Amino acid sequence: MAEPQSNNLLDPVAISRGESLGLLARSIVEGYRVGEHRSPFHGFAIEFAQHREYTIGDDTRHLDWKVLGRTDRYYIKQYEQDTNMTVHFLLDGSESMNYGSEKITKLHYAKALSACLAYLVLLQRDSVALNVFDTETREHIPRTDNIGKIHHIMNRLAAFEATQKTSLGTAMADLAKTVKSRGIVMVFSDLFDDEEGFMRGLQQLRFIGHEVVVFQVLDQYELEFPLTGRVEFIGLEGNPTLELNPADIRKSYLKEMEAMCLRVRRACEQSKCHYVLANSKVPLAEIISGYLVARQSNGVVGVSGGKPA
Amino acid sequence: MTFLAPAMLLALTAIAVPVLIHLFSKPRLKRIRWAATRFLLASIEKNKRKLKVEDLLLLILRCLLVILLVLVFARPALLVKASSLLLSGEKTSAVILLDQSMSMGQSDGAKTRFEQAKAAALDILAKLGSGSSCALYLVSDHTRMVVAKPTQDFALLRRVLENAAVSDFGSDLYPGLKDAVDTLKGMGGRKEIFIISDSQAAAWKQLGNIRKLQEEHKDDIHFRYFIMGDHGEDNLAVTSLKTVGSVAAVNQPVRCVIEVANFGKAAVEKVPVKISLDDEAPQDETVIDRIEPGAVRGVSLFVRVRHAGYHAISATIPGDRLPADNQRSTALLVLEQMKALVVDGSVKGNPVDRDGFFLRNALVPVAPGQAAQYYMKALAGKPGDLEGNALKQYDIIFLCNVADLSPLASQNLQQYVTQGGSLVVFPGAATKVAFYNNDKNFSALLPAKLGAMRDAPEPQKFLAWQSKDYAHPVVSLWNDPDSGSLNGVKFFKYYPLTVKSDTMPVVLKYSNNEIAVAEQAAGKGRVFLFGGPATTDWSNFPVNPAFVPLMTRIVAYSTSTQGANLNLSPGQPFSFEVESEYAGKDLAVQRIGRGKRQIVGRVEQGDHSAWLRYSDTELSGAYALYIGDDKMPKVVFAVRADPAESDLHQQPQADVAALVNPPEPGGQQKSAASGESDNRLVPGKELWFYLAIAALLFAVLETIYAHYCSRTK
Repeated sequence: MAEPQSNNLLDPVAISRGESLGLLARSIVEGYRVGEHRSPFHGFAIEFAQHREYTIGDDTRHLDWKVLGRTDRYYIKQYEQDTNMTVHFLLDGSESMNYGSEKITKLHYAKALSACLAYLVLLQRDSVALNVFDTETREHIPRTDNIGKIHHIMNRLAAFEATQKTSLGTAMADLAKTVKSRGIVMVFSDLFDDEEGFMRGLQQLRFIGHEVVVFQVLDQYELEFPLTGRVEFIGLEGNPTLELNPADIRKSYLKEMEAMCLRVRRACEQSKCHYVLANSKVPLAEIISGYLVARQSNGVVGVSGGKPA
Repeated sequence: MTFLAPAMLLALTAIAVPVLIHLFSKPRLKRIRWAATRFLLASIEKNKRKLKVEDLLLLILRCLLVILLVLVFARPALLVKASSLLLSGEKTSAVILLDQSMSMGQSDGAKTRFEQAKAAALDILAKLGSGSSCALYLVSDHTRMVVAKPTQDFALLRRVLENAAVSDFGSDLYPGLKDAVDTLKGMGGRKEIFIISDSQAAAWKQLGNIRKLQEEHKDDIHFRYFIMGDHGEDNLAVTSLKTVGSVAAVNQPVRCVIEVANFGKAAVEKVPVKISLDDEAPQDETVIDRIEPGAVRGVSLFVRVRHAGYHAISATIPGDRLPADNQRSTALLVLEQMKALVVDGSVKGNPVDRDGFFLRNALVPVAPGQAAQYYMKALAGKPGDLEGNALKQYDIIFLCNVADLSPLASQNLQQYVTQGGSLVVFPGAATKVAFYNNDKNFSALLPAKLGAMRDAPEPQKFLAWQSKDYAHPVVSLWNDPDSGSLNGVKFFKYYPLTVKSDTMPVVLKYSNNEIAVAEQAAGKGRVFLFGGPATTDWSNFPVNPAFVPLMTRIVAYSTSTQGANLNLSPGQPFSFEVESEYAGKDLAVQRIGRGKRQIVGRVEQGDHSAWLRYSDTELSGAYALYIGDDKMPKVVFAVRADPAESDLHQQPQADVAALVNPPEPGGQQKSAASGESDNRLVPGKELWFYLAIAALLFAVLETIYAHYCSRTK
């Protein structure tokens, strides 16, 4: 994968695969435009849904006059309406995301992944919103369904530099407070943060009714820990520097890592969220297609990019 | 445990190497900016103890490896009791030195030290590892290499050991030790010398050389000492038996002086001493009332011999722990009669005035009627008699106041003496001093030169003989005050004598320290020279009570030396010339009083005669040699042990212990215990091989463990 530039955040392969599969919302989302997504609101649009008795204050335009004529009773007609979807991209821009065993850092990988997905969303005439955060929101792109803004989104993403600590739970809580309409929230992070805060944020988003998709972006070295010899690990985000022989603790490290991934995954399952493990070594196309396939198969939580060793 | 190369232990400082490496090693580091630090921290926290233990174990393993390698080179050996000598399993080239000296015959009441030594030697053979070889030397002052080179034929060694018997040789360990070292020099593998001996001081008389030898070979040869018996210095021994005084002749009492020594630490009382002839019953005995520790008491006993020929006289004391020195023998030739020629220098009418008158009477001190039965025949002669060929018939010749001799007489006399005859010279007023001092043949016989005749010094006008300190055997009798004194002999005139060399035996001196009587051996014979005549012209000597006994002793002394080769030291071969007609006949030997007669060989043919030769003389005592079926022995000889061997005093323990356990720096010497209960700790089985195996295992273990530790955890 190339250097993180705005014009190459869109992986052509990923986008083509994503287009063929389409981005279908599994649950009903609230939207403004009629799209391919069913609205959770029973309004007054095209497809009749049901009758209900008239109560004072109802718009009389929705009275079913035929029923009134035949039965002399007041019923209101209700309709099911397809609506557009807003996908909120919540991108972890903390310093820990700057790690990459090769040229690609996790942050760049997450930027590319989110850009691809945003493009897909815009392609199907849905809306996207973007928040890049660390301890607070550093970049915010308001909701838009204009596909022409994809370049703007990518430029903003490419320009972002990670320097701070993470506070994912706070970012998720803030989003839950500010976005009242239900939609899809996609979180891109390595989740090297306070797990409880993250889970609390997850629950808050779910409580509001968001569909949450968690992309845990990890480097292959973090997943497999294949280092040898004496290594000095320079801690990021205020962590200490350690000098040790990786082989001495490899098994234990992998166990810890696997346990963490498992805890996150279980938390997602319990909250009925998607969990996707994104190994930065794995091509974006595989991650995106893997996620979408899982999404299409009626809500099975997908895991892409392999499991921790 | 001990170390045969303790200097190598200094290399233990190398143990610091792995420790320093462990503490200060800085391997090349890779630096990585790492996001998942919290998992590292968690893993480190979990593995901290395990990692520390692994590091420590690795360090310990490496230190142990260094220690083991150092120990291998330091050659550790187990300390074992000297008596147990744990050599099993190790191939060894060994020499066993078994002390065969007389002192090893000392008994503890049940076993002699030699028997204990043999048991120890058999024990050593049993404990030598398979593939070992061993030689066996019987050591004393005569080393006998009974199995000269190390052999693996242990059956042979056992047989030889079982047949080995103690001898009456003297003690000296050094020659045998030297031979053993020379034997092992060219051999490979582990080398051991086992010295099994008592700690008798005489055995260690070359202690300095033994130390030096051991020091020179300390790196390649192990010297192991087995000391048999740690006490038992008490010993009473017959240390001397001499016939003195009179000539050994048939029916004449032979005076024997017997010396009994007390080598113990306590005085001994009432010691009976018996004397016997051949294997007959004792003829005389006495009791020594008391012998102080370290003292020697002499007693005189008499033996009378009924038959001429060779006989053995034995003196015996009661038995003790060392039986070999409780009896001592001497062999002597007993004569039927003796003939003496007394040559008068001047012929005088009155026999009383003749120069040899007193002498002839002194030689036959019996009443005229008994003279014919007396063994000594003293014949008067003239200087001219010396020109004949009949001098051989005389056992001794006296020259009294002879002026000079014809060349023929002088030559004959010279031949007579050198062939074994005895000569006693009394110069007198007629003596020509120049002839005595200058004649080629005659002067060579004399032990001293004559000075000009002189008168005794003023104011006494006489010179008496010395009054004490009689060193010569002929006059030693007068050391006993009970025997009188020679100080009563006074000379008014005398020839001062000047001995030809300072080593020449002086028999008597005047009171002014001038020499009165000198003596020397000339060829096989012996010559005595007096400073004056045997008449009353110049002295009162002929009428002094000492005259007769002194003449008798001179005759006995002179003639007894003719049979001096009858008394041998242990191990000395005996040979005796006989007529050639005996050649080829059986030669039989019998240890008088101790064994049966047995044939040991044949009489050997010589150039003009035949020889009886016998060399198995390890044991002291009297031996009789027989030819054919003869009832009477042809000759009797005696083997007499070195009296020093009867001194059982121990070498100071510190000296022996220093050899057994060389002193360690700052350490104390261990005492050398004795015998089977020898608890001394000596280096035994070496452990380097096992340590090398252990080091190899540790090296493998370290490699595996280090590999394991470097694996993913």
